[in-house]
Order: sequence, then structure tokens, then C-alpha cells
Amino acid sequence: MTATTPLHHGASALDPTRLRSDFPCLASESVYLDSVASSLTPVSVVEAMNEYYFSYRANVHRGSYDASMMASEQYEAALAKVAAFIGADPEEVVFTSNTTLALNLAALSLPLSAGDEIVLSTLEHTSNMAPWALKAYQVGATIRWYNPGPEGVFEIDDFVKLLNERTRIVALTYVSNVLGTVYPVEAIANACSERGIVYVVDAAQAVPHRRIDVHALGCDFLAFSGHKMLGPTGIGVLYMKREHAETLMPGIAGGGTIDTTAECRCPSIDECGPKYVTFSALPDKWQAGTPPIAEAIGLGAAVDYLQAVGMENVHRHSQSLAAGVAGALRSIPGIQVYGPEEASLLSSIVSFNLANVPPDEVGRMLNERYHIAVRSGAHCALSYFMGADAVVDVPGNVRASFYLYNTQEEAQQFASAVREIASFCS
Amino acid sequence: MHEIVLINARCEGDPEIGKFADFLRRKFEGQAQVEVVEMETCTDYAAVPPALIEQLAGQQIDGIPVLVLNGRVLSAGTLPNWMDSLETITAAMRAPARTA
Repeated sequence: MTATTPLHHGASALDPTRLRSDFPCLASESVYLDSVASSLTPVSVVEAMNEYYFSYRANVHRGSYDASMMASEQYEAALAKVAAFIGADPEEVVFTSNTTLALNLAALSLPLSAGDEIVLSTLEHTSNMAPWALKAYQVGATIRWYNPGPEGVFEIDDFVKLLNERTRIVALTYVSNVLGTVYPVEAIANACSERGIVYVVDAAQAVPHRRIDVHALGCDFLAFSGHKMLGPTGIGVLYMKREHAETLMPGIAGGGTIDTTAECRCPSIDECGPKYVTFSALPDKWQAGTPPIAEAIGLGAAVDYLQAVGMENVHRHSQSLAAGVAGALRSIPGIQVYGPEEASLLSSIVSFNLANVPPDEVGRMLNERYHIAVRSGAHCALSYFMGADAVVDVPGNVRASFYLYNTQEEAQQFASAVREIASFCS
Repeated sequence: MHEIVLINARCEGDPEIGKFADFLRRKFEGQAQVEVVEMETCTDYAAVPPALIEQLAGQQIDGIPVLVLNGRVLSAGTLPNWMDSLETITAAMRAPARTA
């Protein structure tokens, strides 16, 4: 590869150079390739949040004054926008503080008994492993693991062999945060639906990069974060199918979840309990406490931004950059690229190791010598990297991730830097 | 022949120091000997040869790991990245020897 070899793997209608001025963080000379951990934020998102803080800062709902009504209006509009972005109804969406909290809320709310089984995969982020491990421990349930192998290629026929009459919940990532491999969500949803199994999707790495329609996918729950899709930190989203939203008891309750206008049916305060409670209408039944108002408004602005660019364009652009870089890295002696070579199986991520060089050291050289920001380590994928049953025999790797504001020049800069480091360390 | 010593400690040192030492051995083959001194704890100097302790006396050592060339501390607390280390060590090798 020469310095002028294009690293775009296929066509992309998106011109990142036109978008970059919207992201003040990109003004420096550094190259940001860590959007999978947290994306950057465009000015419009910060401005939307500032407008709330500076112009109509108040709590939502039930305020009988202008600022509160304005805040409620803007919050509800953002909720509707975020719901529509994933093809959901507003009644099916609740804001949390991040994907982790969203998945915990699902785990806390789903009934499970001793002897029941939960199926996870060995590529799960801790966010989609720990809540279920805790739940299983608390009730005496069992976790069964699907291992898609070191390349992370999901084989539905192998997977369904793990499902049986005791399986109650399947909780899987949509896009691996380590490899960028994409799980066949519709096929998994069908397999679960046929067996009456609840299917929970960790879509933290999917929603920022591809058009999602939860009703078409057929999943029961789907979780994602704002900060990975141009939005602010401190907000996550849990989608739940309407039937679950209506029938389940929320695992977290508090202000707003109880309908205080309904007649109290408790015979006495001593007997006060859930059986006498009238929950609020959806989605407030699930929104315990003051919601992340500014963050919701900011996330709504992020959705506007992504939709203006076009999710198909975002997907193609990030995927083509990642695929091009993966191809370039595979040609470097001493480099092992993780994940399949087939570009269509990948998202925006390239992860790799350099023989005899710790991943943290590669990350450090990229930062200190080339001003390129990547992430190194186990990426919270404990079952992939760590423990007696680890899928791979290394404790971590280096991960670069691409998003709509990354340019082909940056991709080339990165590939060249890795080539130099590999040559230097050989 | 130059002498490079990496002083590390299991408590707060660099867990990958062995790979760094191998890297230095490759890069300075025929020019320097590379040795790793692994301390059990950050205050247990039993593993450090007395001659090296004597050489280090009076030099600023702010933490572990420590990179030493010919008895002179080049860095302490954090090792430079591998590229910077090579440049630092090469420059120090070319510098006039310290007089006692």
C-alpha cells in the first residue's frame, strides 16, 4: 500500500470533510479513532442542551408555568424523535443513563426462577454480561454461553442448539464492540419468538451506525447509549415491546412511575404495595425520577443530525473505512487482525495486535508519536479475552473505530503509523 | 558494552516489562546487555544488586519502573514509549560518560 492508496472499501456518499467543522473537538491535529467508546458531539447537540439550560430550565411534567411546559414539550418531542429513530412507539421507550443501566433495568424487570436459563455469547460487553450474571446468581438460574469463535461469526444453527424448554432469556450484542462483527438479529429473534423466549439486544454499537426498526427486527428489548451516537453522555435508551411495557412490573420505581391521580386502593398505609398501585401511563411507568431532560433534548438533536446525514451513508462510510484499514493492516508483517475478512460481516471497527508488543504500548505509541487516539485492552469483553475459557489467548488488543467524521486521509495516516510501528518493533 | 537495567516491581510496575526488555535486546544486540530486576514489592530492594544501589544513590527516582543506562537513571515512574526509549537510550549512549 502506498500513501495515496484509497482505503475506502467501496463507495461512500458521505463527505466527512463537510461535516468536520460541526465537531470542534476535531480542530486539533489529532486523529480520533475511538468513537466506539464515545463519539464526538456536534455543535447542534450542545446548543440544544444549552438552550434548555439557558432559556427554559425547569423540570418536566405537571409544572404549571411556561418554562416547565416548554421543557415538557421539548422533552416529549425528543422522546418521540428517539423512538421513531429506532422504529418504536414513544410508549415503548424509556430513558436511562446509559446502555448498562438500560440492560440492568431489563434484567431487574424480567421474571426468572431457579433452574431457568439465560443464553449469552462470549463476545458480550460486561454491560450485557454482569446484569444477567447477577440476576442468575440471585434467583438460581443458569447461564449458557454461545461461542462464535475468535472471528465472532455467528452461526444460527449452532446457536439454536443451546435453546431448550428452560431457556427464558437470550441477551446478545447486535454488533461486537471488540470485532465489529454483526449478529443476525432477525434470525435470532425468530428463533426466540418461536420458542417463547425473551430476546434482549445490546445495540450500543449498532444504533449509531445503521438504520434500526425494532418492530421489523422482532426483538423484545433493545438498549443503546446516547454518547456513542453524537449525543451527550449520561443518557441511554431501553426499548421494550409494548406488551412487556404494559404487563411487566418495572424493576426500578419511583417518582413518576405511579399514577398519583388515580384513586388509592390501599386499605391502609401498612398494606401499601404493588398490588394496589396504579402505574402511570406508558412510558412514564418506566421512567423513575426526573428524567435526563437536557440529555434527552441533546439526543434528539443528535438524531436530527444523523438523519440529515442519512444512516445508510453513515453505515457505508464507517464500514468502508474500517474494511479498507483492516485490509491494509492484514498486509503488514507481524500484525494479526481480529474478525472476519468479509467486509459485509463487519461494522466500523478494526481490532488487531502486533506480535511481541503489548496492545497498550501500541496505543501509547500511536498517541504519543502520531497523535492518533485508539483504545487498547480487553474492551470490557471479559469472556472473550479473560479467564480459563477465554476465546483468544491474548489479554487484549488494539481497537480503532471509525465514524462519519473520519476521513480517508485519517485512515491512511493510521494504517501508515501502524506499519511504521510494526517495522520499528520488529 | 553498555548496560541497561530495568527495575520493576510486581506491585506497581509494568506487567509487560519482559517484552520491553526483549525489544531492547533486539535493538541493542551487540551494543548493550539488558537486565530486568524484579522487586517483590516497591520497597523491597533485596533483589537490587548492591553495586547498582550504590550507582543510583543521589539520583532522583520518583517511582517504579526505572530505566537505567550505565548506572544513570534515564526515566523513573513511567517508562517512555518504545520509540522514545530507543531514542533516549541511543542519545544517552552517545553522550559523554558521567564522571564520578
